[in-house]
Amino acid sequence: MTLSKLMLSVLLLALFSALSTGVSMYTQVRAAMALEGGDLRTETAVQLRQADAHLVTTIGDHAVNGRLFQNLDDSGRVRAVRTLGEPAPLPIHDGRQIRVGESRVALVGAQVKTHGSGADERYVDFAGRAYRVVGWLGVHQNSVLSREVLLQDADLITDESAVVADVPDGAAGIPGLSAELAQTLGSQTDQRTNIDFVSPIVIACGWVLSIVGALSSGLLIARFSWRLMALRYRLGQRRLSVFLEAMTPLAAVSVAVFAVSAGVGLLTAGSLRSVPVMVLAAGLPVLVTVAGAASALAWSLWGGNRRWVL
Amino acid sequence: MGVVTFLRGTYGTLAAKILVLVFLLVSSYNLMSFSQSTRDAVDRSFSDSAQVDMYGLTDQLADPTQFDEYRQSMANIDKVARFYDALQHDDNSKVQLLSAFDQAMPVADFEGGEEFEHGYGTGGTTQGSYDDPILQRPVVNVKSVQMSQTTFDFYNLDAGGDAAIDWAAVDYSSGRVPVLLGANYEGVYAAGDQLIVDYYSKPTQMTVAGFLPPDASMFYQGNINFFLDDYLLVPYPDSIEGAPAADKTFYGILAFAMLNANIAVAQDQPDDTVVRALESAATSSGFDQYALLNVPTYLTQFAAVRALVQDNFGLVLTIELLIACAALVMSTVLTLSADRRRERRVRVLWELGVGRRVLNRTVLAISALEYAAVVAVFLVIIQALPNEDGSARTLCLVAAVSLFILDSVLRQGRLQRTIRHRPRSES
Repeated sequence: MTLSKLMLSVLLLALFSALSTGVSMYTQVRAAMALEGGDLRTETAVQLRQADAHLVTTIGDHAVNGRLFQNLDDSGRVRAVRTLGEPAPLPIHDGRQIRVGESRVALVGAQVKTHGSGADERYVDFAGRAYRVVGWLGVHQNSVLSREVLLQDADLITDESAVVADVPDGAAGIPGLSAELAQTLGSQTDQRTNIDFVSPIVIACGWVLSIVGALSSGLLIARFSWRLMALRYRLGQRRLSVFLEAMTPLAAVSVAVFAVSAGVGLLTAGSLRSVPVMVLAAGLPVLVTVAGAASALAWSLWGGNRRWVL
Repeated sequence: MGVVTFLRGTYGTLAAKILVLVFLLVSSYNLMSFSQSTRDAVDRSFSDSAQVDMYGLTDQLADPTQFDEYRQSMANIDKVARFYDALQHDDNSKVQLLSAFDQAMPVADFEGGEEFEHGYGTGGTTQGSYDDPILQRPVVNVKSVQMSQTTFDFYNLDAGGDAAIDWAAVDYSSGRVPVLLGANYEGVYAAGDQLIVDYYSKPTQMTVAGFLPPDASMFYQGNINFFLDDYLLVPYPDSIEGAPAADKTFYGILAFAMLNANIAVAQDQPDDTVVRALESAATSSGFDQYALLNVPTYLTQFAAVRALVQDNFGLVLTIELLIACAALVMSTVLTLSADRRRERRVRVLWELGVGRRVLNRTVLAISALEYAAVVAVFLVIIQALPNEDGSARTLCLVAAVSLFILDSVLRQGRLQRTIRHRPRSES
C-alpha cells in the first residue's frame, strides 16, 4: 500500500468512525433535551391516581427500565424519583446520574440552594434530611430545570399520593397495570416542532450511512493491496503470510483511528457521556471496515474464483 | 456501445453510491422541514413581541363572605367591570391585560372521552357523569378556559387554524355563546354543533365556531407549556358593564373571573407603568381591591423554552453537516473507484476506434442513470414520510441536479485525460 493510499484509508476510517460517534452523541443529547422539555418525563409516561399508586410503588427495581416520580410539594418542583433498571439519562450539565437503588441522593437545578463544604460535597435539605447532590439538572446551567429538585431515597415514594410512571411502553410496560387505570400526560416542549418525527430519521440515516460507508471503505481498501498480494502469491509466498502482510498496516491504523475517535468523543460529550456507548459507536464502523477488507482479501486468496488480473 | 459493458464489475459501487446520495437527500429534506417547523414554533409562541415583563392581577377579596357580600351589589359589579374596561381599552397605558381563567365546565350529554374531563392527568380522580341540578340533565365537567380577545391574540392561538370567532358579537345576554374547541376535539364535535352548558349556574347554549390548531399553547399559572388541545375555549365579551340585574349571580362571578389576568408590559417601558395604569383604572372605576403579583417565571421559561427549541435545531444541523460531509466524501471515493475500473475499457475502446462523442455519451448516460435512480428512490421515500414539504422537496431535487451536473463535468474531464494519456504504471 502506498502512503497516499494509506492516508486515504485513514481518512475513510476516521470519517465513518466520527460520523457514528457523532450520531451516538446526538442521540444522547437529543434524548436528554427531550426530557428537559418534557418535565423529565418521556412521551410514554402515565399518571396513576392515588388509589392505584400501590401498583407501581411495589415494583422491583430491575423489573423495567424507567423512573417513578411523585410530587413532594404543591409547586411540583420538588419530586421524589425512583430509578428502575437503566433508563435514558436525565439532562445534566455536571455530575452524574442517580443510580438504581441509591439512597439519600439528589439531582438539582443550578438555582437551587445547597449547602456543604466544597464544590464536590453539596447537600440539599428536605423534611429534615440532607440529600447529597450527585448531579446538576439541565443540559445548560440556565434552563427550565434550574429550580427543579429530584430526590431519591428508599421508601420516599409511597402510595399515599399520585405517582407518575415513566416506562417505555406506558401502562402496558408495567406488569399488572391495566391501561384504564393510567392517564396519559401531555405538555412536551417537543410538541411545538416536528422534532419527534425528524430526529429518528436523521439518526437512522446517520447510522446506516456510517455502516454502508464503512463496509464500502473496507472493500475499497482491500482493492488497494490486491495487486501487491497477487504478486507476492505468484512469487510463492504462503497465503497466510500474504494475508497478514496486507492486513497489518490496516489493523494498525484502525486501532489508532478508533482510539482517537473514542477519546475525542468521550472528551466532548460532557456529563452525558457513556463509555460503553461511545466505544461501541467509535469502534463499530472501524470493525466493519477491517472485517470487510479482511473478508475481501481472504476471499481472493482462499476463495474459488481468484480474479487477480483486474 | 453498451452502458452495460461499462457498468460490469461496478454494480456494488453503483448501488452504494445511490444509497449514500439518497441518505444525503432524505436527511437534508428532513432538516429543511424541521427548520420550517422550528421557525413556525418561534413565530407562534416565542416572537419578540411576546418577550414581555409579566405581572399577575387578582382581587383582594380572599375571604369568601367578604367576596359574597361585595357581589351582592350591582353597583360593585359595575365597578369591577369598569376597572376591567379601563385597563383593557386604555391606549395610553402601554399595558396589555391578558385575562384568562380555567375551570371545570359542566357540559350536558358530553360525547368526548375521559381525557377531556377536568382533573384528568393530574393524579386526581375525574368525576364522571352526574346529574346537574340547574340543567336537570346528566353532565360531565370538562376542561375549559375562558379568555379575552387580547389574550387570544397575544398567544397567537388561531395561527394557521380556522378558529373563527366574531369577538365583537360575543354577547352573554342572548344566552348563546360561540366557543372554540381544542384540536383533540376534532371528530368528537363538528363546527356548528350545539352544547348545553351550565356556565356559572346559568344555562347557556354554546355553538362550536371552530377548532384551535394542534398544539396551541399559552402561559397559564406559571406554565408556558400549557397546551389547549383538550380544552373548551369560551370567549369573554368585550365588556360586561351595565349587565342586567336579573343575572346578578352570574355576572358577579364572571366579573371576578375576568379580573384573573396577567398584565404584559413591553420590556422597554418604565418600571412604574403597570402601577400607574392600575391606579388610573382604579380612580376612574372606583374599584381598588386588586392585588398585583410579579410573575418572573414567564420570562425565564420563555427564554429557556425558546432556547430549547432552537438548541434542537442546532443539534440537528450539526449532525446533518456531519452526514453531508461523510456522504459527499463517500460518493466521490465511490465514483473515482468505479471510474478507475472503467479506465482500461475506455482505452481499449478508444484504441479500437470508438469515437470521442460516443464515449462522452456513455459516460453521461452512466451519471444520468445514477442520479435518476437517486431521485426515484428519494421521491419514493419522502412519499412515505408524513411531513410533506413542497419547497424542501424542490430544494432537494435542485441539489440532486446540481450534483449530477458537477459529477458529469468532472467525469468528462477524467475521460479526456484517460483517452489522452498513456496508461500509468500500475501501483
